[in-house]
Order: sequence, then structure tokens, then C-alpha cells
Amino acid sequence: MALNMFQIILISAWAFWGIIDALSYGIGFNNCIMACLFTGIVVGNPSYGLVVGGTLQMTQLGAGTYGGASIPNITSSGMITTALGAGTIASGASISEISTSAVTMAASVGIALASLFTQLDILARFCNTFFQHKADGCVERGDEKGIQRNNVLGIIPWGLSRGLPVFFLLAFGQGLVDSILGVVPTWLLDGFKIAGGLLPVVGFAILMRYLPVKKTPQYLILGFVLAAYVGQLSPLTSAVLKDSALTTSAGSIGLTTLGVSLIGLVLALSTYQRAVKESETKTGGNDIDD
Amino acid sequence: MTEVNKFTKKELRSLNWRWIWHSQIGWNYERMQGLGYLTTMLPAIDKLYGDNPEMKKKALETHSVFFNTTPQMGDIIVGMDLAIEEQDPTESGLAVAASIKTALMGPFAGIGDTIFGVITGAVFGSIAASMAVQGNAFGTGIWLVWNLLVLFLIRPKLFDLGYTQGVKLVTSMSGKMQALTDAAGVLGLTVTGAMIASMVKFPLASYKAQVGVDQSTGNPIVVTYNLQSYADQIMPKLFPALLAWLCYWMLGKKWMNSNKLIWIIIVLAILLRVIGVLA
Repeated sequence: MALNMFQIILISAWAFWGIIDALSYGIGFNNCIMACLFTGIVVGNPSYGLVVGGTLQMTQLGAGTYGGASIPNITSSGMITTALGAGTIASGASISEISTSAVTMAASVGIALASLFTQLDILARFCNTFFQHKADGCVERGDEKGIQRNNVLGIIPWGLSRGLPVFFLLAFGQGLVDSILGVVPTWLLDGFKIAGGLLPVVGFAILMRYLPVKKTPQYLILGFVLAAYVGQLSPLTSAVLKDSALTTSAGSIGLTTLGVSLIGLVLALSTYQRAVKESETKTGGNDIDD
Repeated sequence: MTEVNKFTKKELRSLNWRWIWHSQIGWNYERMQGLGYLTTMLPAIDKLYGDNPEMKKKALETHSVFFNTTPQMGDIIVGMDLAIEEQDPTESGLAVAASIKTALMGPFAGIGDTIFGVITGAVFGSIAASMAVQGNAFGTGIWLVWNLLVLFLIRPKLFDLGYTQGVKLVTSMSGKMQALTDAAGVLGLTVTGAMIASMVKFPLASYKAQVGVDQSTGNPIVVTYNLQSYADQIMPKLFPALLAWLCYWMLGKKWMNSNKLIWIIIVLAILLRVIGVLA
């Protein structure tokens, strides 16, 4: 099922605007899941987009471009994976067939493109130094319109670094994906499917690096225990991935992700109140010393 | 100091929106958000120094320097800067504003990246992703609502705080900010712990082995070894926990980064599948 030009332009335009939104308003057009869902809707398979987006998002939880670092671009790669992957799915496929294909494609094509696209992010940031130098000239001349123009022109390298690869791969990539899928052996595809289930661990490990694991490990353990012992958090996922061994009867208890988040929120609120009180007594103590 | 120079509410709001839009679209390796900061300030520079070409040039140069922080924390800094320059639109006021900018961008980025980057990613990202893989967009909707709250409520509020409180905000805020960061850490850790147990799939295989032949019937006696149930008897989600700890440990090493780790996990998954440990 080849994509038509209208679909390709629509998806590429979203990718172009997505990064600009992420740099400015941050509404979420560049959010991996949202972008993949949009792509899924455009190609007529929203579920495929959601599963690809969710799988890729979990490899990058809490990872950000802090201090101007470049990270794997799961948004552009996810959009391409969704559009091309959905093209390999026969109409009338079951939910579990869609899910298996989406997880496998995300763990293979999605991850590969995401790391490849890191280079385009670096290129865009580099290209903008050109406009910086032009703007420096405007500062010399006191040309305020020129300063603003050169700042806004930064949109072009930024947007093209996302829009162009999406456009080209959507226009010419379907045949490539189809022929690769034709020659890849089953054991490798099965391996990628397993990888899709393991990869979230990378996202969580990144998060743990940023979170105060050494200072307060008890909350990490509490969250784990709530999910592992008290309730299977996402029995549906296991069912979808056909991990029958993981679908325990505890699934019916169904403490949802949202539920554990709310328990975490309760603990966070009491931590906040205690910390504020402590900092107040500390400053109070200083006053007495004075 | 003349009343003429006072910014109106409307002008302040518009300067805040200028920062939100311009701060990073011209981001580059040389000055990072520096060009965005300068562009944001243009109308303010016109208003404060418009009748003094020399001061105007000075202001343009002052705001051309390197700048980089969490965009949301930049709202506070721009607010403070405007208040300082408005009160003292001279060379000395400009110098104070310049040093405040440079002094605050680093520490503010530390707090801002934790709250707006890491914790947001941990909580909203986990909820959204765990629902998305089940074909459910509701979690992503929650994330969208949070983003809109940040854009339309939190960011204007931060800007106003910076403008009205000025530099004294730094001392009054530091205790609360630390408390907020601690609390956010607690929330992030709880959610991350739960996610490790629920989202990392380590499906151990089961083996069938012939242990002998039934003497009376001649049928083979087959025993099934279900590795998963053995592991579960020690502790449910034992392997996801071990793997998370291993990855956490590896990411702390100098030779490791998240991109390499992703590929290691993919190769590991394929190997374990091929030798039949995972199914």
C-alpha cells in the first residue's frame, strides 16, 4: 500500500512543525506518541501509531536535550516507522498482529533511524551558527529587523532536519522496507520482538540516572513492589504481546499506572510539606543567631 | 528614572511571548539561546534606550552574549532582567542585568531540567507510553493537558514572579525550589519503580524434556520446566529488576551512553531468543 503525495506532505509538514513547537510552545506536536498517532490516523491505522510511539517513547523517558545535547530522534523515526510499517499490514489484521508488527518494527527500523537522525540534529544546530554570524553583523549596524530575521531563519535548518528525512523515506522507503522484510529470517524478527519488550529498561535506567536513587531508594522499591506484587499494572499489554507467562491472575487487581502515580503524588506532597517546614525552621534558626 | 519607561502589562505579556517563541528557534552551538534572548529583548531595548543610540548599541551587544537555560526558567530570568533595566536604564543597570543573567542560567537549568524535563518525562511519559502500547491514547491526552497548563499558566506565572520579585526571589525561592525538586524526585522514583515491574518484558521460556519411559505403557515421560514460574517463586519481576539495575550501573560508566545501551539490549534480546532462554 503506497502512500499518496497528500499523506506524505501532511506527515512531513507535521514533522517540520513538530520540532519548531518543541523549541517554542512545547504543546506536544513533537511528542513521539502524538506524532506517531497522527501518522497512524493519516495512513488509516491509529493503533499501529500508538504502539510504535509508546514502544519508542519508553526508550527515552526523561531524556532531554539538556545543555544542547543531541539525543536519538524517536519522533521522526517513529513517524516513518508507523507510516511504512502500517503499509506492511494487511487490512483486517487483528489487534495482536498489529501490535506484534509495530513492536518489532519499532525495535528494529525505529531504533536504527532514531540513532541515525541524531546526526541531522547536530547538523541543524551547526547550520544556525551561520545565521548567528549574520545577526552579529546586524548588531554592529543596529539593524534590529535583521537580528530578528536571522533568529527566525533558524526555523529552516531545524524544520528541514526533521521534515526532509521523513519526506524522502515516506516517498521512497516502502519498497525498501518490503524487500528487507522479505529477506529477514523469522528468528531475527522474533528477536526484535523480544527486544521491543526489553527496551523500556533503557528509558527507566536513564531516568534512574537523573533521579535521586542513592538518596531515597525506598520510593523506587515501593513503586516496584506495588506493581510487581500487589497488581499487574498492564495485563492488557502482556495479552497483546502474547506473553502468557506474564499474564497472571493478579492482573484483575489492576492497579493502574495512574493509580501508582497518585500514590507517588501523595508521598511527594508530604515530602514537599516536610522540606518546606525544614527550610523555614532553618532560616528561623539563623534569625535567632543574628 | 522616568515614568515614561514603565512597561505596560500588555507589553510585558508580549515580551514573555516573545521569549517563548524566539528563545530557541535560532539555537546554535556558538551562543545557544543567546540570539533568541537578544531577539526577545528588541522591543524593550527600543523602549528603554530608543532616544540614546550609544546606549542602544551597548544594550544590543550586552544581550548578544552566550545564554542557555531551561526555557521555562528563562521566563523568570527575562522577567527579572526587564525589572532591573526598567528601574535603572543606564550602563550600570545593564551591567547588573548582564551578570544576573549569566549567574542564574546554570543553577536555574539544574532545577528546571529536573522538573520540566526529567520528572515530566518520568510521570507523563510513563503513563502515556504504557497506555499507548495497549492502543490507548488517553495517557497522551493527559500529557497534552499538562503541556497546555505549562504554556498558558505556569510560564506566564514564572515570568510575573521574576518581574515582580526580582533578584530577591532567588533567596526566598531557594528553600521552596529545593523542596519541590525533592518532592518531584519522590514522585519520579515511585513511578519508575512501578514501570520497571510492569513494562519491562522478560518472558522466560519453558522446556519440555523426556526424563524416561513409562514401563507399563511404553510412552515417554515428559516434564515441562517452566523457567518463568521458577523465577517468579523467588520474586515476581526478578529479571526486569536485575536488568534495570545492570543498565543503571552501566550508564554510570564513562564508556557507556544510552545509544550504545539500546543496541546492547537489542543484541542481548536476539541472542537470548536464539539460544532459547526467552520466548
